[in-house]
Amino acid sequence: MQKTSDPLETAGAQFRTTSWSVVQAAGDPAAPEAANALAELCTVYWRPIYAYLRRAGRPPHDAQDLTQEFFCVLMRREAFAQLAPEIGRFRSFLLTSLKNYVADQDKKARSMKRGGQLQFISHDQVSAEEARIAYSHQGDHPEQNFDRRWAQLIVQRAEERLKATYDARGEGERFEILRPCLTGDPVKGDNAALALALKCNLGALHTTISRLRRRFRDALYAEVATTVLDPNEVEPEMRHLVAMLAEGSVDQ
Amino acid sequence: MADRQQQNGPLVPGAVCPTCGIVHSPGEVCTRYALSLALDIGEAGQASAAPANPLEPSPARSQGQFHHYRIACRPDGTLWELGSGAMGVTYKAYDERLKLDVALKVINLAFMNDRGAHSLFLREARAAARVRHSNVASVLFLNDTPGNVFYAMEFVAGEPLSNWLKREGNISPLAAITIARQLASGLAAIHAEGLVHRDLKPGNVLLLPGAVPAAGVASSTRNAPRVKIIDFGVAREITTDSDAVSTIGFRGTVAYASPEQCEEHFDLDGRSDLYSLGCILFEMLAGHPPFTARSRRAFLNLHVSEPPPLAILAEQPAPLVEVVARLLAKRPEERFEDAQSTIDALDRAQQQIEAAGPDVGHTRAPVSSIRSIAGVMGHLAKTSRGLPTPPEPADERRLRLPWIVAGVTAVAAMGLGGYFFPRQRAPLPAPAAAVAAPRAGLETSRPPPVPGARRSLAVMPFTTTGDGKENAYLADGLRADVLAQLTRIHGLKVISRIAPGQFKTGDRPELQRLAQDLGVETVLEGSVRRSGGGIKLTVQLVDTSTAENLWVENYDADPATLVAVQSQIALSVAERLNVSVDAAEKNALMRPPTGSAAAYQLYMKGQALLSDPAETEKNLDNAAAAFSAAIEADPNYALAHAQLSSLHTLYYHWGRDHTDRRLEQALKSAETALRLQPDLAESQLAMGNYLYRGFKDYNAALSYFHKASATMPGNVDALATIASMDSRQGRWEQAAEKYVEAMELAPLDARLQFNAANTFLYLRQYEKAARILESGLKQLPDHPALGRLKGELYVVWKGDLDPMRRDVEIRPADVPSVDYAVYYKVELLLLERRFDDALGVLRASNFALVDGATTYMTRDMLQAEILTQANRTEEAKKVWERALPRLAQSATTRPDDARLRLAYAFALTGIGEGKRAVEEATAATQLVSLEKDALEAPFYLRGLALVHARTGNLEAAKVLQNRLLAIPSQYSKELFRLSPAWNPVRD
Repeated sequence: MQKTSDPLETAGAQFRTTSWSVVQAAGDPAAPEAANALAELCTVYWRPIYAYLRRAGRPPHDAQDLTQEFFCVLMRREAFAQLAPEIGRFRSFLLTSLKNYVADQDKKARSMKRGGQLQFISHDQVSAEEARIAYSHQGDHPEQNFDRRWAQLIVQRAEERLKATYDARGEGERFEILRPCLTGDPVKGDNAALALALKCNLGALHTTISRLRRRFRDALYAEVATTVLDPNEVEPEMRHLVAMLAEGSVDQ
Repeated sequence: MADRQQQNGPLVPGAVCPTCGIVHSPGEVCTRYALSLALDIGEAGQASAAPANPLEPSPARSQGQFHHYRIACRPDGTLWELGSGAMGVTYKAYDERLKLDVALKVINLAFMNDRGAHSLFLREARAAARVRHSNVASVLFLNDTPGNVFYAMEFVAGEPLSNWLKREGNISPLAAITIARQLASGLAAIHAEGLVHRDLKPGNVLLLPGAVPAAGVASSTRNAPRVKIIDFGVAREITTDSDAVSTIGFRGTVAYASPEQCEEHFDLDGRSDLYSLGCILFEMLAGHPPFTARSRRAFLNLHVSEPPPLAILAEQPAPLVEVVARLLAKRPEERFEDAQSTIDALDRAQQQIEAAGPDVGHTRAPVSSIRSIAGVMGHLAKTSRGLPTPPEPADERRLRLPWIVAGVTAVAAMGLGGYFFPRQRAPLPAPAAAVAAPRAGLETSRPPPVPGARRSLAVMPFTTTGDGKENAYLADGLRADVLAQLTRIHGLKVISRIAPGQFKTGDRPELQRLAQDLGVETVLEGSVRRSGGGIKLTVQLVDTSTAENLWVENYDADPATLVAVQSQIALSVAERLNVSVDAAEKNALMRPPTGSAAAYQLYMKGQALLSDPAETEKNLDNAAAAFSAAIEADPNYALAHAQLSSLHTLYYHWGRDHTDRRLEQALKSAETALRLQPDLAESQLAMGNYLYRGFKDYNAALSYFHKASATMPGNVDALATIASMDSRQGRWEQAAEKYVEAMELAPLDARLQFNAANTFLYLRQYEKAARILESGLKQLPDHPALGRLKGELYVVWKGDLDPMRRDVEIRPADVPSVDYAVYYKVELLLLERRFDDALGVLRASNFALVDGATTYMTRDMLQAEILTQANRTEEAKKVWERALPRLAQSATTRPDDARLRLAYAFALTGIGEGKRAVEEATAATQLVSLEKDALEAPFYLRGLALVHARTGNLEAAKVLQNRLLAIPSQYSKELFRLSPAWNPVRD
C-alpha cells in the first residue's frame, strides 16, 4: 500500500518552481525553467527593492520605474552574469545586484529605455507599498529596510504555504480559527472558546496547537529554502533576518 | 475576526510592531516572532509578546496537583477549566484537606518567571482575601512558592447571570433591583479594600438558589436569587519587572467596560465598576446590554461617545431608569459617588415603584415594543418624585429631559482641565461666563435631535474689531482652523467655501437666505480682538430659523493657549448640536497641533491667506513663507508641513513652477507630515495631491484621498478630488455621488456645480444637470462657466440652441478671454449654420489661439474648420495647407500631446492625406484612451470619427459615433444631428 503523502509536501510542490537554486543551476536566467522561477521570485520580492529605493530617497514614480527596469535587466542573460558574482542567497544577490545597478544607472544618467515585456508591479501594489512605507520606520538604513520587508514577505509566504496545507485537507476554516495562535499576540486566554470552536477538548487543543506550530516552522524553512542555494544556508539566513529585526525594535 | 477585518483594510497598514519593527496589522503574524519560533529561540524570553499558552506542560499542572489541591477532570480526562483571564487560568479543584470543591486560580505560564507579575498576582490575591462579603466569593488559600503561584477561592456552584439572562430574557424591575443591590453591596466591600473589579459582567456574577437576606429588601423579592461576584482584581497587565503596577492597554469585557476603561485611563476607581453595574442593570431590564457592536473598537467608541439608548427602557419605572442613567453617565463624577450611594438610590427607586402599585414593579416589559422616546419622557415626567432635578412645568420637562440624559455625553466630551491632555500641557483657557442671551432661553431652543441626520452648520467669517493685517490674519486663521476641526466630526455637515462678504454677519434676512439657499440650520459666528497681550474671542451659535442664539461663549486666551481654543470650540459646537463625537474624532480634535505659540501664529497667518479661494493664487508666496516660518519655529509641526506640501504641488500644478525640483519639495514635505502624524487628514491630502497633480497617479492618490476623507468627512477638496479621479477613471456614477455630497457641503462653489453638472451630462441624466446649473446660476447669475455649460447642455439634450444664444449674447467679449468668447460665438454660429457670419466674427476679431485642456485651435484651424463645415472644400484646403507646417512641427516636437496630434490629423485630412490623418488621430486616442482618462477620451474618439468621416470611411465613423453614444460622454444624437461637422455621415 502506498503511503499517503503529507499534505505539507503536496503544498510545498507548487512552490518548488520558485527557487533560487533552479535559477542558479540553469546558470542562465533566460532558460525557460529559470525564467519562470526568476519571474515568480521577482513578483514577490520587488517590494524590498522598492522599499530600499524609497528609503534611499527616490520618489515613488522613480522607485517604481527603477525596480521595473532592474528586473527586466535581471531577466537578460548577459546582464545577469555581470550583475553580481555567484551568491548563495537570493536576498544578498538581489541587494548586491541592485546596488551595482543603481550605481551604474546613475553614471549613465539613466538614458536607457525603460520598461520591458514583463510587468512585475501594478499601481495598486505600489500604493499599498507606499502606504506601508509611510507608516514604517523613517530612520532606517535602506538596507535594513530591505531586510525587514524581506523577512516579512518570507513569513507571509510561509503562512500562505501553511494555509494551503490546511486548505488541501479541507481544513481552511480550522486554520482561520487557529491562526491567532501564530500571530505572536498574546493569546486572548480563552482556550476553552478555542476548543469549543474546534469541537475538541483542551488536551486535543494542545496537540493541535503544537502541530500547527511545527507545520509553520516547516513552512518557514521551506520558504527560506527557496531563496538559498545550499540547505545549510537556511538557518544562517533566518538568524540574519531575526538579527535585523531585533535591531529595529530599539529605535521606537 | 471582525476586528481583524476592520483593521486589515488595504489602506491601513497598521502600526509598527514593537517586537519586529515592521509595519503590520494587529492580526498579522509578527515576523520576528515567527522566525524565532522557527529557530526555536527566545519564544518566552526575547520575544516578550510570544503567546503564552497556559496549556503548555508544566510539571505541576501535568500532574493536576497543586499543593493539597487536585484539579478536577472532566469525564473526558481534560482539566476542568472554569475560565481564564489575562493573568491566569481558573480550574475547578478539590481541597484534599477541607474536603470541598474550590476554584483554583493559577498564574499564567507566561508570567511564571516575571517578578513583577508575581508580586502583582500575590498582592491581588492578598487584597481579595481581605474582602469578606456574602456577595463576593472568598479567597481561601494562597501559595506563593516561586514557580508555583496560585490561590484557591470559594467554589460557587451557581449559575452565571449571563446564562440565566439568556434563558429568561429581561426580568422584572424589582428582581433586577434585588440583584443590582447585591452587586452594589459586593462592590462596596471590594472597593473598601482599595480594589477595582474591572471586569464586572453577567459572566462573573453567579446566582445561587435561595432566599436573599431580608435587610433592605422588600418582602416581594424574597425569592430572588442570591448573588456572588467572582473573579475580581486580576484583570491587570504587568508591564515592567519593577514593583510598579500600571494598567496598559484595555483589559476587561468590552460590552460592560466604562468609558474611562475604554480610554485606558490609569487611575480607575470604583465608579468604573458602577458603570459596569449600570450595563448589567440595563441588560436585566432590556434583555441586552446598552450597546451592541460587532467589533471591539466600535464598542469602545460607543461607551465613550454614544448616549445610552435609554428610550429602550421607556416602559420601565422612571425612578429605576434614572438610576440606570446615572450609572451609565460617561464621566465618573456624574455617576453615584460610590457603591453605597448606588444602594441608597436603588432602595429609593424600589420604594417609589412599590408605592406606585403592584403592577409596576413585577411585570417585565415587552422588550420588542419599546421604542418611543416620548413615552419614556412622559413617564419620567409623571413619576419623577424625589429626584434631584428641580420641578418644572411638564412641557418644559418633556423638552428638556432628552437633553439632560444626552447632556451627560456632551459634558464628558468637553473634557476641560486636562482631561484629554497630557498633564504637562498648559491649562486650557477657561471659558468666561456666557454673555448675551440667558442660559434658560438657550436650553429650550435647542433643536430636537434627528436620529441619523447630520446637523448642518455654516462657519461665518470671523469679525475683528482691531485694524491691521495681523488682526485680520488672526480672525481668518482662527476661523479656518475651527472650520477644519469641525470637518473632522462625522455627525456635522459643515458648509464651507463661504467667501468673506458673501453674507453679512448677524443679519436676520441674511440668516434666512442662508437657511434657504444653503440649507443651513445653524451658523457659527465669531469675533476676535486683541486686548493687552491676550486675545478675546467670542463665538456664538445661531439658529437660522429663529435667529436665536443657541450658545454664546467668551474665551480669554493668550498666544500660548490659543492653539487649544479651536478644538474646544469645535467640541462645544458638537455638544450644543447634540452631535456625538467618537473617541477617534475626539483624539484627532484634542491632539495639540504644535507646542509652539509662535509656530501656531504663523500657521494661522498661512491659513488666513488661503481662506479666500479667489485670492489663493495671489497669496501663494506669502502663505508658503508663513508655513515655512511656522516649520522653522516648530520643525515637528505636521500640519504646517502638510500645508506647505500642498502649496508646492499647487505651484507645480498651476505652472508657477512646473519643475521636478518643486515636486521633490512637495514630496519631502508630505513625507515629513506623514511621518510626524500619519493619521492626519491634511498629511494624507498632501501626499494625495502630490501624486495626483504631479503624476496623475490616480490609484496611488486615491488611496490617500480616501483615507483623508474618512477622517475629515467634511473636507470638500478631498471629496471633489476623489470625484474628479472617479470620473477620469470611468466610475461615473460614483463620481456623481461624490460631487453631490461635496456640493451639499459647499453649495456656493461654482466649480463643484460645474463638475457635477458635467458629470450628469456625461451620464445623460440631463434633468439633474439642468437642475444643478439652474440653482448655481440663481446664486451666481454671471458665472461664465455655468452659463456656458447650460448652453451646451440644452444643445446636447434637446437640440435647443436658445440657452446657448442667450449665453453668448450676455457674455462680455473678454470673458473668460477674448479668444474663448470668439470661439464660443463661432461654435454657436456653426450650429446655426451661419457660416458667413462665423467667418465674419473671426475676421473681425483678434482671435489667436485656444489652448485648453482638450482643445487646441489656432486661427488658421478655426477658419479652415468653418470652411470645411460649410462644404467650401477648396477654400478650406488652402487654409489647411497654410496651417499644416506649424501643426506638423508641433505634433512632431511634442508627440505626447494628444491635442497637437489631433490638430495635425485634422490638417492632414484637409489636404487629403487620409491615411496619415487616421494614424495621427488614432495616436491621439491612444495617448488619451478611455482607460487612462474617461473624461477627455471621448473628445479624441470624436476627432478620430470626424477624420474617418472626412476621408470617406463612413462605416468607421458611424461605428465610433455609436461607441460615443454607448459610453458616458458629452455627445448625443441631437448634437450629431444638429452639427454640420457630421454632414458627411448624414444619410
